Amino acid sequence: MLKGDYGKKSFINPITKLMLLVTLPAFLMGGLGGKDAEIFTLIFPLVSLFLLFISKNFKAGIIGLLAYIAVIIAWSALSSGSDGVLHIMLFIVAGIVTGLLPCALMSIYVISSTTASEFITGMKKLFIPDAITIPMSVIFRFFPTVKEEVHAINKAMKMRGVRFGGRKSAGILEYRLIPVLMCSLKIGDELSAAALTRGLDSPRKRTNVCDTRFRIQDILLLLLCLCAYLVWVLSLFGIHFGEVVKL
Amino acid sequence: MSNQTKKNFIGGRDLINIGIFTAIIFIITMAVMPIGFIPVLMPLYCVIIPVFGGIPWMLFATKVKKLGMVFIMSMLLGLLLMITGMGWYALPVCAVSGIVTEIILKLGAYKSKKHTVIAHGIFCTWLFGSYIPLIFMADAYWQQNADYGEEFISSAKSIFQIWTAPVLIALCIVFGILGGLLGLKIMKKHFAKAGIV
Amino acid sequence: MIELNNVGFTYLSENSDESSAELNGSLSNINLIIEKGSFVLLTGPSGCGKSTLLRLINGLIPHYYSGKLEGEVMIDGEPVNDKPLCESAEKIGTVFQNPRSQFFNVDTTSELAFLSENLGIEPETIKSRIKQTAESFGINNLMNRSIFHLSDGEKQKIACASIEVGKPEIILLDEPSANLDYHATMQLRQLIAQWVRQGRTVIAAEHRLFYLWDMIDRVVLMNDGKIIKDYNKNELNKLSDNDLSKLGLRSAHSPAPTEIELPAVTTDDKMLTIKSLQFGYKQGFFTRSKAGNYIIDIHNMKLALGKITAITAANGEGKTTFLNCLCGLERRSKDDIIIDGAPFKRRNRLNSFFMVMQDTNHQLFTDSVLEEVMISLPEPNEDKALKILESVDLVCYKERHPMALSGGQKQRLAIACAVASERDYILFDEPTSGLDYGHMKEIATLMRQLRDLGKTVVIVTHDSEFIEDCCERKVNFASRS
Repeated sequence: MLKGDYGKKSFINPITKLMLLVTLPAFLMGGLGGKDAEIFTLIFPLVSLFLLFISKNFKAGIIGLLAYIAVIIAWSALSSGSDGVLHIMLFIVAGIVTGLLPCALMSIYVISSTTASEFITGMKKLFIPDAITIPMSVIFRFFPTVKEEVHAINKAMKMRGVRFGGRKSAGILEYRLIPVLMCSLKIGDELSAAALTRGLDSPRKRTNVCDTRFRIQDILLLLLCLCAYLVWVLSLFGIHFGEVVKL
Repeated sequence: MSNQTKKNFIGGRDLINIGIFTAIIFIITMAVMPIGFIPVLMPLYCVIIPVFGGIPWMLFATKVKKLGMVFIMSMLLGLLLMITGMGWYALPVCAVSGIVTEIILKLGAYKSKKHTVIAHGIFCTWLFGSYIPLIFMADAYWQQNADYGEEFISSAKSIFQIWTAPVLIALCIVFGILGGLLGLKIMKKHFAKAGIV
Repeated sequence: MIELNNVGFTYLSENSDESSAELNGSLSNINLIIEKGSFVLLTGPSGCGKSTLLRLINGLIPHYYSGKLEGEVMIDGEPVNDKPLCESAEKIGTVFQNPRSQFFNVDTTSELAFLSENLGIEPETIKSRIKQTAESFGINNLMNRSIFHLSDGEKQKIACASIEVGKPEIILLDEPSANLDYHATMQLRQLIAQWVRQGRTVIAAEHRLFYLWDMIDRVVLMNDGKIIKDYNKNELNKLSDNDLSKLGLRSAHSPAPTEIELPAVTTDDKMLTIKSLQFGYKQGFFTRSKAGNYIIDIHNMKLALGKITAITAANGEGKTTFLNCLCGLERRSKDDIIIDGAPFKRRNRLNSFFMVMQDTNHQLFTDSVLEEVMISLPEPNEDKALKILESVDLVCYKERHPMALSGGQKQRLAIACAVASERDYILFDEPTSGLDYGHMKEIATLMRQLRDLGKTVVIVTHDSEFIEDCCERKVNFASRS
């Protein structure tokens, strides 16, 4: 972050981020393209990791990298012979690490590196209406808020001796859910009031301070996603990328 | 709720409310999702999420006075499912369930408690979106996910057959209504008593 | 110029946005003219309608809060009621009380740009204004940060900066210092002083007077929805703290809490000794916090048993974390605490300490006041619970939902739970934040009652008046000593 540069620049464009956010789960978890798109199930996790490192989010990056390497080794060592319980267990872990984890890492990258201003601008460029964009940005803002509230409430419960197994354990869910909802409701109302006094409902065309030009890295990543979809579409027509390469 | 300005269009405040409640319902969904790694338990989504979702739903319903708010929420949930890897199949399902829910609420003039509870049953069918590939595209789906291992696939296949579709939808509706009733009870016990709604 | 002509307002009872504490914030027959460029303070007991008055000026009434409105509010000759909120937004900036809920964005820079972006101002203009504001408010170090990593004081600075970027002519402050410690409050004062120097119209609703007192041109004293007194600068200078407390107002000249003279412990006191207490969040992926990286690193702190001890700090950092460690809620704290010559382990502390948190909303869970006390008792016993409620003067509300109580009442209920828990040590985190003079006095009386029951009371507070009123011992806290 350069001092005096108040429009924080992300490495990639919000539109590229949205594209990755949609594409990664489709291929890693939804299994689009099956065997033909296997190469992408290797590339996409690397993209997540790369973006995390470049945005200096080393903690998530290193955890992701280690987990990924560990599972790949374990998988190739064990999967061939075994079946049954061990296989299923390993599969569950592998499923999380190879499928869910890269997607989660990408979400972490996108959420931590995208400002609301960028997000709204990106969505505008894709012609997505405010009715979707504004609640979406509230959702992303609200996740950490709920986390904070839940944390504070848990602490209070622990201090007051409401825990599993105790006399008060019957109410444990109710005691947790109700204060969270009460506080969320209150925060929501205050948030709306504050946002409205800051011109949220203005009918004027919104401007934005962020830079949303496409750069070379955006074009490369978009092309990568496009290739993945292409492989999938071709496979639907019986043209298999894997065989084409072999030929 | 709105005011003297006679606005019937969805404004900034409504959009913020939609965002907040979508976030809460989605957090509940995400908390339950991990049980799906054990295929036999996957249908439980249709039980647990509707029951707990009923509480924020009944609260949200007190904020809904305008056409389209529930539809937007439904679409947002669909989009979130898509981002979290459940595929785009959820979107059309969410659109349909959103519209039907809107109609029921409209019939109750956005006031009737009975309509709100029933509407929750319909609304919960948005969850069905995440099962579509397992049921209707089973062969293609399992071919793509052959790594799961024989045992997992055969147990999953035995659960997810065509006949499970109506069962899952029915589960969503029944437990959605039960969740709505639970929400109603909690509303009376807490929120109405606290003077919040 | 702001003009209110015969304004009255009553909140609709089904309005869901008012915690019922403020339900009686209705106004009647308000006539008020505020000159351009003046700094007006609205004050009075909780629920007197001062926040309602601000909402009338910024247009949240009638556009957001609905109710019965009479009379007219004019700004520069134009009625506010007819204008949509976004037009008022250009002229009027509002800083709210709760630092957690007034940000739409997750990062600070977007928050600063938010108003101007909504109003469609040119990006280049916005950027230069943000730069200018960050310089003049001294918040360059807070730019491009997540608001979830800022302290409450820093959040309020960002809130002030975010309205400053829109260059509003009128600035409304709705108890902006309610959640801030002394240090942060004095920093807030500097930002407000800039506005006053620039000749902006500033209207503040506040209980805490000391940090604004010498800048104020005028004080409007309200009670029960009416203006009961209107003091100009000359009349203000004649008011002593004694006069103020007769009017039910806070002191205008509080000393810094660290400067109050009270012993930490006396030779006669029985003591709990914190030989050392260290706490650090995980620093990185592999590294646990090393020495020197602790957020809290305290040695040889003594707390008197059976007394009321205030814990004050020049800078509020780490106080809440310290309380969490002390009462055993933080598993990762490394501590060596001695009582009666024996170590006082974390598990035991968890069962002997009760903490009343700053935001009591987080610790009240049940559906009635009575039930709340009942679940706190080691064995449920209704007679006992009622007796305790009587001592905090809440028996008449025993069937009420805790969330339907006012701020002061919630605080009292939390104290009742502390008594019911029959634990010996009771910790408080800023029990008087946001309370008016009357409620502060009530809490002070309850503190003395707790001491008379033989409890050890430890209060983290920045409220000098409160310390002078009820505390007997005082420890100056520095997160590293």
